[in-house]
Amino acid sequence: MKTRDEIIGVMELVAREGNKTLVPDFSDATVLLQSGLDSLDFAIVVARLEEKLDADPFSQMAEPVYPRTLGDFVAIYERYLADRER
Amino acid sequence: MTRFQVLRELLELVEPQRPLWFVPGVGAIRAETVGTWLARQSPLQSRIQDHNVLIRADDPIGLAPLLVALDGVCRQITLLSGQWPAEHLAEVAARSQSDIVFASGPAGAHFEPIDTQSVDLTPLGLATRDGAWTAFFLSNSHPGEAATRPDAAQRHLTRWVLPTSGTTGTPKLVVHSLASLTRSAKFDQDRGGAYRWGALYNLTGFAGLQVFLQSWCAGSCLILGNPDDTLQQRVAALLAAGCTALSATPTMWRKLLMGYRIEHLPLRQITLGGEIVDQKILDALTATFPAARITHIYASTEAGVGFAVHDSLAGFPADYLLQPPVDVRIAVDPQGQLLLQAPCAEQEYLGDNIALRDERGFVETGDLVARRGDRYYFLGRANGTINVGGNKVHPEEVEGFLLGCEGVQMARVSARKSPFTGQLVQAEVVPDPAVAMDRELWQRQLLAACRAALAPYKVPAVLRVVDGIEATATGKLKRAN
Repeated sequence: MKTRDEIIGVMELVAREGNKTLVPDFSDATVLLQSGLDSLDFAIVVARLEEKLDADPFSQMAEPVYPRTLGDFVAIYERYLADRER
Repeated sequence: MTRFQVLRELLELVEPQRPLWFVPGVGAIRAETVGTWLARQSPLQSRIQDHNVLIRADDPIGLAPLLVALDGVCRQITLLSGQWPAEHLAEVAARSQSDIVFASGPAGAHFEPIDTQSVDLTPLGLATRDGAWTAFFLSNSHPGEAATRPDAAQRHLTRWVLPTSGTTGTPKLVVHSLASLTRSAKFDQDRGGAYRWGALYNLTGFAGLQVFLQSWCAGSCLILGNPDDTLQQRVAALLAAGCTALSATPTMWRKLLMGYRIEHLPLRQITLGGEIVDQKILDALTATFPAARITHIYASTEAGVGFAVHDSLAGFPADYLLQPPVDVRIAVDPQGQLLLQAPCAEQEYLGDNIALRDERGFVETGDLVARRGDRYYFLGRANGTINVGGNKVHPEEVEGFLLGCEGVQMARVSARKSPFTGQLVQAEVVPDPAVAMDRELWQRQLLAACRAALAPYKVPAVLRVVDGIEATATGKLKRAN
């Protein structure tokens, strides 16, 4: 499964579990904290992804990154996983 | 730089036009306005003189003037958050021997006051958001008596009482004085005039009260935001007010960096506290606000402010143990617990016969530290309490809930590091072999049960079904570190 689909799948699951809905126009430009999920939800998404992918780029990367949009968030994972495979 | 004993002394030290508060939508509240309002409060002040007052509030617009009016007049102020369950107010009033309660909204329904009096903030240009403020005089208070006492004019050094956070059951009440609360505050009103403080804490908590007092003692302007506003609205209010100094928890700062245009804030002072401060958030703030001084503060309700760290590095220098940066001695016990010893050993637990300090005068902070190189780093709470973005979770509570669920033989709850909320709750559960089940379905059912019963931050972010959990030699759960 593509990283992106994996990430969105976890977000959808976390939203469902919390009886929340993602905004209808959920896209790369969506600001994460305006997507229908709050910062606790994103902390959960990152923890669940760590279980799935064995990767937490936010803790493991040297530079501090606080993603603003879904596009930023996905790109951080994609870049981190690509670097890891090299 | 004179320290003052009573809050209202500031009004004699700053020019009348000095803005002391800023209320979004209203504008600046100047020293002379506060002074004029205060002068009209003498009927109220004569009724509260010599009494123990309890305040339950979150609205800083009502709270800030009230604190200035009460300090130095009443004998004791007990401060509770507006989130404090109203039905438990009477119990805290009894424990703190409070005989007058200040609250907004319907809190009075939980008392049988013999009299009430409204507090009028309109001369300040302020209308509180959650209804008018009322003073409720309880049956054990004696209104009017104090005013006739011969020492009525005498000023008190008011005792400030704050509930502890992060303990199980009923919080302990810790007694402070204005001196112990402002021990680390700057009283330089010349420099203070340049700062406009904002806070993303409620003023009734220790951290929020620190921001209120620091801003007041230095004659700075404090932006009194609405705690009911969304974070977006609060950031907009800080931007409109030209906030130059802001205090928040690391979790709150991460949220601000992720979702809000805070880089436009003209910040000169950034303060972090209330949770472990990691290097990532310090680096991100340094990159976003290169001109700002970044301070992380270590403090607790019991010990007061322990120390501040200004070098933008996580943890604190090991040198602090030999040469404390302020007059608070710092030590680490053999178990790795941080100990603090303040010069004015004034804080005590109220009513409880429990010592707040050990025989050498040190307060146990309950926080574990470890030395790496020339610094100490924070590891977490000695009792395993998990701090999820500033919300405290006792693992035993979540374990207890899980153990009550069908098919759970053993449960262990521990902290998991999170780049966004500092920590998260994680759980391992051992299924009862006598109960046949689909593990994956069962795991989902357990999580659903947690969500139905527990606050969102207490629900395990990750719940693993495992075959066994290690126990210690004494048969207790071995807690993951």
